[in-house]
Amino acid sequence: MKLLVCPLNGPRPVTEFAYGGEVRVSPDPDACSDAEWGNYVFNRSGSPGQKYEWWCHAASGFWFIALRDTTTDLVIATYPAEFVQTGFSRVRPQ
Amino acid sequence: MMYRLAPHADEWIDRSIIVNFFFEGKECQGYEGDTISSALVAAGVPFLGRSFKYHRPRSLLSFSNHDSNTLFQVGEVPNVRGDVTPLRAGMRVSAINTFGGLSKDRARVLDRLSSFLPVGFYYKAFHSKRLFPHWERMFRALTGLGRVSLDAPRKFTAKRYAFCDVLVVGAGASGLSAALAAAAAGAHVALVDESLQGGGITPLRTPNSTLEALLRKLSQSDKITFYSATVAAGYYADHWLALAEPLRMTKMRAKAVVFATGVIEQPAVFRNNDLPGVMLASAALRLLACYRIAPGRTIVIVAANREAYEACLELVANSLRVAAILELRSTLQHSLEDLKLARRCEDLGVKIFTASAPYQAIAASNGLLKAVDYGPIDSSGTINSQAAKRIECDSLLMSVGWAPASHLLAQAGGSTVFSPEIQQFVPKELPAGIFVAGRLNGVFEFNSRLDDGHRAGTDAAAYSGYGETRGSEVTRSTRCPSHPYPIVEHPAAKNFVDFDEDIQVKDLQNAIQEGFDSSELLKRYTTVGMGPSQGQHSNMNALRILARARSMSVSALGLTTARPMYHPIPLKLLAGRGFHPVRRTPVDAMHGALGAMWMPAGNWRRCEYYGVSGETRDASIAAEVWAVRHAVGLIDVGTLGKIEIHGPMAGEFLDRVYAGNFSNLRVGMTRYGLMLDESGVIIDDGVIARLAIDLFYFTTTTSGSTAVFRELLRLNALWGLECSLINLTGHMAAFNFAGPLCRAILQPLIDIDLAEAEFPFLGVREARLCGVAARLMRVGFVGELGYEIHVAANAGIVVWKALMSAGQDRGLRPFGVEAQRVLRLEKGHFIVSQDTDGLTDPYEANAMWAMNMRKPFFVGQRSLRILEKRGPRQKLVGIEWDGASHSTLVKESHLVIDGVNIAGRITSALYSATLKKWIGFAMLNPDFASRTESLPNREIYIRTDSGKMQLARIATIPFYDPKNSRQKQILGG
Amino acid sequence: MTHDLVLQVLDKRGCCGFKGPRAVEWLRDQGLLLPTQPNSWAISGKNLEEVIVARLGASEFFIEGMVGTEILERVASNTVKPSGVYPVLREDCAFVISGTNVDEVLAQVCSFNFADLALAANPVIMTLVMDVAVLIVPQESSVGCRYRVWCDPTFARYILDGLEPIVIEYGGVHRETYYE
Repeated sequence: MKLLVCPLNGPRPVTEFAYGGEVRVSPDPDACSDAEWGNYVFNRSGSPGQKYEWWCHAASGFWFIALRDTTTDLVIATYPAEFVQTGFSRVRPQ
Repeated sequence: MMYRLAPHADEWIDRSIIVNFFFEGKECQGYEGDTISSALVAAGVPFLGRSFKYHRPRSLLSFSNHDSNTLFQVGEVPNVRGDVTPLRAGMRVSAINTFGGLSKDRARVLDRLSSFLPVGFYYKAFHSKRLFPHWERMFRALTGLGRVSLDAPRKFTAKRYAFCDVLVVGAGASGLSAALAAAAAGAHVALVDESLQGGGITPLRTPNSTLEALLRKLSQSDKITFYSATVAAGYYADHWLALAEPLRMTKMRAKAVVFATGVIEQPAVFRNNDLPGVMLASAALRLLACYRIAPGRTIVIVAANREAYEACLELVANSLRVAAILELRSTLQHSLEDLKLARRCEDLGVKIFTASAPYQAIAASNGLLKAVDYGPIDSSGTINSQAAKRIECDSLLMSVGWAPASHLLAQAGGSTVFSPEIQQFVPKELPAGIFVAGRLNGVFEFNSRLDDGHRAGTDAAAYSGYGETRGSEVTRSTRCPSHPYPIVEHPAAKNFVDFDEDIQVKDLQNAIQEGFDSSELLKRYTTVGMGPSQGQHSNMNALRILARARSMSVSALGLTTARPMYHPIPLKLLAGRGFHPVRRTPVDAMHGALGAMWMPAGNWRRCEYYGVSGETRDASIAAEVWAVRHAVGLIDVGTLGKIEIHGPMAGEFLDRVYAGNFSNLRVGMTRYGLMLDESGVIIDDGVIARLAIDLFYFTTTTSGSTAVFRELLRLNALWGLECSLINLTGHMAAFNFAGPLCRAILQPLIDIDLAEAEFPFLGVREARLCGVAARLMRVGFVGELGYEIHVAANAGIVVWKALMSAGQDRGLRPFGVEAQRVLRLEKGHFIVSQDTDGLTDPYEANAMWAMNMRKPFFVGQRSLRILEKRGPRQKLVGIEWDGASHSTLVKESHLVIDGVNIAGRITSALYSATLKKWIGFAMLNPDFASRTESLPNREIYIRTDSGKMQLARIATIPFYDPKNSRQKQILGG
Repeated sequence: MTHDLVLQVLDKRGCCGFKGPRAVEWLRDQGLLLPTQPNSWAISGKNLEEVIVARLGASEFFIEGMVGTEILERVASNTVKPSGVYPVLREDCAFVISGTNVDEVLAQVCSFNFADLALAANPVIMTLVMDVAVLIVPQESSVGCRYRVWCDPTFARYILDGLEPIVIEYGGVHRETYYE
């Protein structure tokens, strides 16, 4: 079973975690078109590569961000959830 | 015929203890230490089983648990692995896959019909739709191994987690060496082997003293845990392996893994190579060394490697007669060592025929081997059958090559490459933390294997943080231990490649000709390698046949990867103890004595209704509903999600996650909340109460509580608002105390004034109830005056008992989920995920009143703007109908029919005794829903289980008390 | 054979929790010794007044002691807390599992590797036992490791019923009530 290193709880088997999907930035709901919004809500990129993802350590309710390579299924780095407000805007794909 | 030899000091059996057991109803004897298979052949039992397809008699082949010849039914346990299962007194052993017993198996006729059963026969013959059910019944009776007893008692076996620094799989020379080297570096080591004892598969052929010294060191080491009789059956991500022990499953997490899984001896393929008496040379050596069983009186060896001559010398040293060696290779000149061994065999009277192959094995009338016909082969391996000669023998041993036991290595992501020099796939690239040693690594000579094990063990220990790497080169074998094509054609076939599935050379050739010419396709079409042995003795030969047929190299084609678990594992080990969490509310203990009939709700157990003796289910539910409508009822709603949110931005947070407005909610009041997802679909609902300017307490649905709380935590992390969420779901007890009499009963128990003016509908109050802190909410879910009461879990029982006893003389009844469903349906409240589905938005559920589109933002709002323009795709409507006979009973998910079209479906349907009619919800096609406006009586038809239609009417909701005057306590309402 | 493997429910213990931006400051003002590292624990008070304070993550605290302990009563009391201090109602079921083979029992229900822990650092473990979230504080004792476990009370029956046969299989006993 896969191990995931939680920034708070250390390495744990993946069954202790809940997946929260890819970190995605919503378009401005007041400025975007219906099509842009629909694309944001319904479409996900299935292309392989490095992705920022939400993960929650279920036993502690601790959410964090993992940078995972979906081709190799290797987690490259993890960040506390605050990263989505502080650091993510710098690194996120445009 | 096999027989037991005189005792030997190193044998694994204890002849002082005789073990009596039964085989096919007849009493047999073995010794303590025997396996089922060894005891049976030593007792002179000629056949141990029948083959899967043609029901041919079979005996030992690998004697290492790799073939399916020795699967047995033991008592009520099917498919017991005879090669490795210790014999126990009183065992009732029988063969599997027979019709009327092993010797008189009626299905043995299939062997003569084999030419009518070509490869792919089933696909070609049984595709007729009409006849398929007939064939299916017939084949279901013919297939499958063993019988499951449905009366067998349920026994729980353990599953456990374990951890080590270095896991070594295989306790042969290289594995032992690796384990000891890793332990010497300071690592905690787990060593796993299928066998009952360490030392590897061919104990006598290796220099004994060295191996014994290693085994002694193993038993003395406190750093090594030895898992004997254990199969490492699967590799999973991050060095996690499933270790199937005899009575439990260990899930081992290692920091580094050494695979020293060795090689599996491969059979030669020639006509009748499955006759009882034909077996692998390694099997014969193990029988001899561990159980002191001779393979026969006159032995012939089919040889293509050095191991054949070593085996020959071992047999002769034990005073057995080896008549001849049929050497597939044209000459032994390439290896001085091989030549020397051959000379020694010849000196002992063994005839050696080089460039010769067995053409066919010959059975005596009793079905046992009596001779072998052999003939000269040319450089391409083609046999000259005209020149065939016969040698009498009762044992034919095969020593022609090996295949690596690379299942786990492949599962771990290790790649292999075919080495033509040694005719074996050898590891090429290894993932981090994975190490390989010994014959799996292409290292064959004993001392080299010890050294290779030492290297792998040292490096694995270093990887896990102990000591330094050694990192020296691997010394691969310079001789070739495997023949490139140990396969002999025969016009009459029965030259088996796969003994499990009775697959012959021509089956594979036909399949290739039909276009199934890749390893994967060939496997699926012919089922080669898909039997219980999972190709351990067949995949390599099948690949060689495929390569030759396509004039390609073996390396270009490659092997299939065995999925975990690559070896059959008893289901009990997989099942373990079976942990299925069940949640009980804080007052769960109260319900049993009241006659609770339990139902699961998410992972909770809830009371569906309280069974009263002499009352039917429906009558009990109706009485519970009556009590709420006319007196008072009490329901345990402790399963609701219960959440607190603190902080200056708590109101802002709720505004964002719910469709309604909450920052403007007055302290002391509650409001219904509808939760949507980003696409505008309703995902949850509940009641939000404001207890203070910076503190809200709110509920979620029972089934949504865990997921909703988790998502709220995520949104809080995402938005970073100044507020904090606390999940009180399991820490609070909650009841709904409802009915016209509830206020009068509650008032004496509580320290606040419950008068309408003081505590109005939709109010929330904190008070002391029966002396404990409580939160009370005036809710209207069931449509009567009612209080939802929340107290700390440990106070739940005190409050429940107090309410029950206070209401005792006033007609109070506890009510369950089913009565609550009736009550809420009478009030026209939908239940999220029963009356709504994964696509329902608030417009479709008529819940626009619960949303505030003027807010700057809430989850789902932007999508609702689009959905509002688009219009609904379905419409939830109330329906009602009169009396239903049994044949037109309307149930949830029945279809609403409009002419020949489906116009919708029923989401709720219940009988309301209060209203004396059936009521429900239907999710209708919006066009149809609007058309019904003009229909006389707004009638619709519902198709019931019997196919008969039930007529119903669209109704206005709520069905009961449409002005909500009862729950609001409007006088004169 | 000694029956020192015991599963004991602690029913005379009380607990409460706090979170919020000013929780640290306020709890310190109440005289509690707070662990500095996330997921670690500390002891405040002595003998019968002893309470254990576990820091769950960065800013949440879990406090447990004998029912009636002065400081526990004081912090858990119903009085209004200053803003930025959010009391967390904790009604956890508390139990202890200790003795010979305790690690074998835990190995059957929990995937956490307790052998790798540095007990000197006073670790707090939030993990799953039989698929249910629990809080575990391992403590050294004369009979090896002693595990204090807290779980949501609505799962208590399920967890104790699941642990009991395993404890018994290893020669231990399950004591329904226990006074510590």
